[in-house]
Amino acid sequence: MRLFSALLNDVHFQIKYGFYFLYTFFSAIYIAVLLVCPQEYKKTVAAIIILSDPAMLGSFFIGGIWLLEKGEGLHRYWVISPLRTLEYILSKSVSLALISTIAANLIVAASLKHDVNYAMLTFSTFVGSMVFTIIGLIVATYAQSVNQYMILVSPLEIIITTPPILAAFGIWYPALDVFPGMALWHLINYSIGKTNHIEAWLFPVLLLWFSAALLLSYRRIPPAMQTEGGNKV
Amino acid sequence: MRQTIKLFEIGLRQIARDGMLLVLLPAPLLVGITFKFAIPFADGILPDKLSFSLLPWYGLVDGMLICLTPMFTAMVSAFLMLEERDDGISAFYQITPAGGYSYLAARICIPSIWAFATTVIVVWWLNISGLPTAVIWTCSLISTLEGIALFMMLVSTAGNRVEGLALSKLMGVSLLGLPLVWFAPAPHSYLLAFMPSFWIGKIIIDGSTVFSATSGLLSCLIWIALFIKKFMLRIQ
Repeated sequence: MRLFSALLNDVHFQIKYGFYFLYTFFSAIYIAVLLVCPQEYKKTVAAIIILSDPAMLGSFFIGGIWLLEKGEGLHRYWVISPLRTLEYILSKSVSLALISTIAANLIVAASLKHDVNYAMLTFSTFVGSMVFTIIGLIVATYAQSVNQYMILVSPLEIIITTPPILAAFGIWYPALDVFPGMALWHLINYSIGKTNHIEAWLFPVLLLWFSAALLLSYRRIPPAMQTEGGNKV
Repeated sequence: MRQTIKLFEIGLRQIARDGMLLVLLPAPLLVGITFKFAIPFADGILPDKLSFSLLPWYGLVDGMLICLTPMFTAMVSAFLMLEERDDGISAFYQITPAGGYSYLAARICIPSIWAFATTVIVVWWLNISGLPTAVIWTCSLISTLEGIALFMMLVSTAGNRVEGLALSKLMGVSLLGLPLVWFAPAPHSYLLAFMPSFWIGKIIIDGSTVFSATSGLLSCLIWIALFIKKFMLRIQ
């Protein structure tokens, strides 16, 4: 119940910040791009779009969200708040993953139509987005400003998105599949019908990354909230 | 003027501490060098493999190089200012002689002078489509003013840094006018004539004429005036 009200609160703020409006707008642009895209490239372009924007949006925004909360002094109330660390992390990542999933489904539904496995698309985008958001959240705890967060998180985003983009051009090594970006890339490709075969172990890979990210953030968040005010200015 | 320099120094120190200065300063040069060598190299390989040449797109690549530095500078400055507002620091500036226009000048005018100079030098040195000097000067000026317009959009519209992040994603959309000049035939592309980036593309393709230069500058100034008005209403 506490998780639910935290989630509702996060969604409420994300609507207020314009995230839903922004992603309606961007989905419309992506759909337009995909509609004029030649049939033979359509699915590859769709997969690149979903992976590089909706799925990654959490890692882009979470830094700003964390730093704004910190700047407003919200984290000072952490010790007396009944909200548990796990609930805080889940509320943030689930609320942002919700936008990712809605946008990904919208883009695919409007531009591809055939051979789409929506359940798979929903599952993979949702879990993938949560992984990237939580990684972003961990990075955010080390940043003092949005500018610094962007410098810290950009290399990570490049590491996550480069192998899939190379794979789209045919440069691919099986060993790279253990990374979350690649696992998500294969899952998205399968769910939009670009490939007919999927390695079953890619699901556990993504879930394993989710658990690892969750565990790391579970350790990192409480001390990061408590050092509030003790930081060097 | 003294307050402006002082405020600029404070901002500079902040982004130096963030590490952003270390990225911002060499970035235009690094991107320019990458374009200069990677694009002709790719063009050497692609025609054999895909019977596809990059040559017609060289102007577009230079256009991107022209737009990049002012936009990046605008974004860094805008986040600096938004965070000063979130943390309540800008409220203190408002009650000192450093408020209003001199605060704005420190956060965007001085960085823009740097962005303009860097753009001119980097594009003059590293452009790949053999741009004439007049085109480089005009496009760099329009691009710098576009950067100022984008900065004003961010600081006048965003309520806090998170809304700023959301709006900064829209900054990419402002570049849409540039490729459209290449992809859409003449009467249709004029749909985006309200975007400064459209005029940058137009000038790169057709050369710098009095009409296109004036239109480009005007499109920037209108946006800047609109957002400055909004900004001043907001801080009062």
